[in-house]
Amino acid sequence: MATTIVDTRTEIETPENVTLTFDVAGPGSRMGAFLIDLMIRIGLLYVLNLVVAFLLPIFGQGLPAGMMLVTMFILEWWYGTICEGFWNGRTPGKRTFGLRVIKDAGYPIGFYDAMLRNLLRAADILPIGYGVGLICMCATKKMQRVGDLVAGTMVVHERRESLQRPAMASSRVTPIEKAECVGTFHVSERTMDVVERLLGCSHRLSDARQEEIAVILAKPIAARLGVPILVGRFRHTAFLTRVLKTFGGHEESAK
Amino acid sequence: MTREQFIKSRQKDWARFEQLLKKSEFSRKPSLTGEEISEFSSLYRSLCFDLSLVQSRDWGLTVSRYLNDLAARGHNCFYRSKPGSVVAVVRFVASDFPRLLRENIGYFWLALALFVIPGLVAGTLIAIDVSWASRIVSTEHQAMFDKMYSGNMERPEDANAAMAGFYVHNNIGIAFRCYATGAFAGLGSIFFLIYNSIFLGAVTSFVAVKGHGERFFSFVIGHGSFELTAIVVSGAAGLILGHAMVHSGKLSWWDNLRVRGLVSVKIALGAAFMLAVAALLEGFWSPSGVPSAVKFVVGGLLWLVVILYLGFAGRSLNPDEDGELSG
Repeated sequence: MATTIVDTRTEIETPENVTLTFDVAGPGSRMGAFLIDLMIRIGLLYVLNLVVAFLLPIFGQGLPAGMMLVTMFILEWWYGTICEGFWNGRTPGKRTFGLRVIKDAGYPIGFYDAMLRNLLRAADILPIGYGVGLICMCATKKMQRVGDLVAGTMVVHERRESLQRPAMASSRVTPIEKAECVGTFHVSERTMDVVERLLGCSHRLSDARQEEIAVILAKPIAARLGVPILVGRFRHTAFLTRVLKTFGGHEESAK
Repeated sequence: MTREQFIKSRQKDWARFEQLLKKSEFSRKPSLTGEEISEFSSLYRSLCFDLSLVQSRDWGLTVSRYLNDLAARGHNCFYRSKPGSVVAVVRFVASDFPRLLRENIGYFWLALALFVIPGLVAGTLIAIDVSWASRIVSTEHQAMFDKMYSGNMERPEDANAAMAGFYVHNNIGIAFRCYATGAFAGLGSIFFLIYNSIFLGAVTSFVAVKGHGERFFSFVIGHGSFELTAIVVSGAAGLILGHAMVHSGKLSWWDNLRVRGLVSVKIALGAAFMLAVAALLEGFWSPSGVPSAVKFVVGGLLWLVVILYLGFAGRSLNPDEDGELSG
């Protein structure tokens, strides 16, 4: 690869000789996952407290109090190890944020990896609020805290990509006629992919924002094709819709 | 072939692969039948081929991301580690842990020295002049220890379980912290070892000077065998980790850290196991009402057990095999 792009991707070559790309998770989402896990741990402790209060008259003070302390110990030191070790690198918090811990060679983590990275939290958490961990994450390309470095693990965003196409171009949209076109009557598949992705986001973007982005895309395409962009408030989006209808190459599969 | 044709011709296989993935991702046990497994692996290989094809063409992010995601999940599934088992746990306690510790015995001796010498010095000073005690142990604590070991050591029966829980929570927590802070070039472990050494040395000496020696020693000798040794073991684990942080030997820094980190965490896990045993002893045996003489004998035997366990457990009868286990 000629250029190195500064981003949060990391590439791994598998034994099958393909390069897999992973999105490494940064402090923000990991903090969120941590907070959710913290709430779950506190919640569990609270429930246990109720159980203990119920057991006190039956067993006396000793046993329930001992149980409580052992559970506190487990929740404090083993919560992450047990979840990640037996649930393929996830805790409930990580699951919520779509995160997973994997080995930095792309493999699933094992029990000792989970234990290592979770025990070393005691080092990362110093001097206050994961200070060491945060500094270490900023200094490493795969955003690893000390526990991750030693265990050889990283936390990645798990995408769930789908091949779903944007439900597109109703029959009311007129395709661009070849005659209409002064320039080159061709749009590369790569560009079409970007157009598709943008138009496929209409449920997530406001119309105005979509139009804003569409301007950037539509102008060079229009210049290349030599087709004028018509008038109207969302003219650039409309133009891209026409481009998609013309060059999308899947009219027959569109509904 | 255009992108659309490619997607159309391969889509069915991808969907099938995704289906198999979903089926196997949810449980750790092998949930695919033999036939499905061979189908899975051939689909996985062709998926990898598709991915590299897409990567070499300029077909945009949608399809390459989709395939990347599928292949990553497949990779994750395919190269999954073996699930753990009860047998593995037993083998760890019975042989892996003591073996690993013996292979790294140098760290143990160093941690032992750090844990014994400062305490001996502190204890000797207090034995010579008891006013030294107030420099280490606050006066309230002194009064507490004085009172604690002057009366009857027995607790109300039902407090034992609570205390055992407390020892698990407190002591294993300390051991884990002692281990984890070893990541800072071993400094954290050294601190915890010396700190606890001085404190325990001071308290021991202070209590002995006050004339509660017999009661105190008969109380601590039993669980001390596992507890004190385990603290040293956790310190040794921290020192292994710290050493790997600053010095990497023949391997690269990363590789060495991986290997040594794994060794160190296994040893720390062994220390946790020993402390759990100690907590039970300290909770139920040490405060019991049996005569001091019996406690000394049993305590002595427990020390012997610890020494024999760490020194000999997992040693094979055939000395040739001994050298095999590494890392």
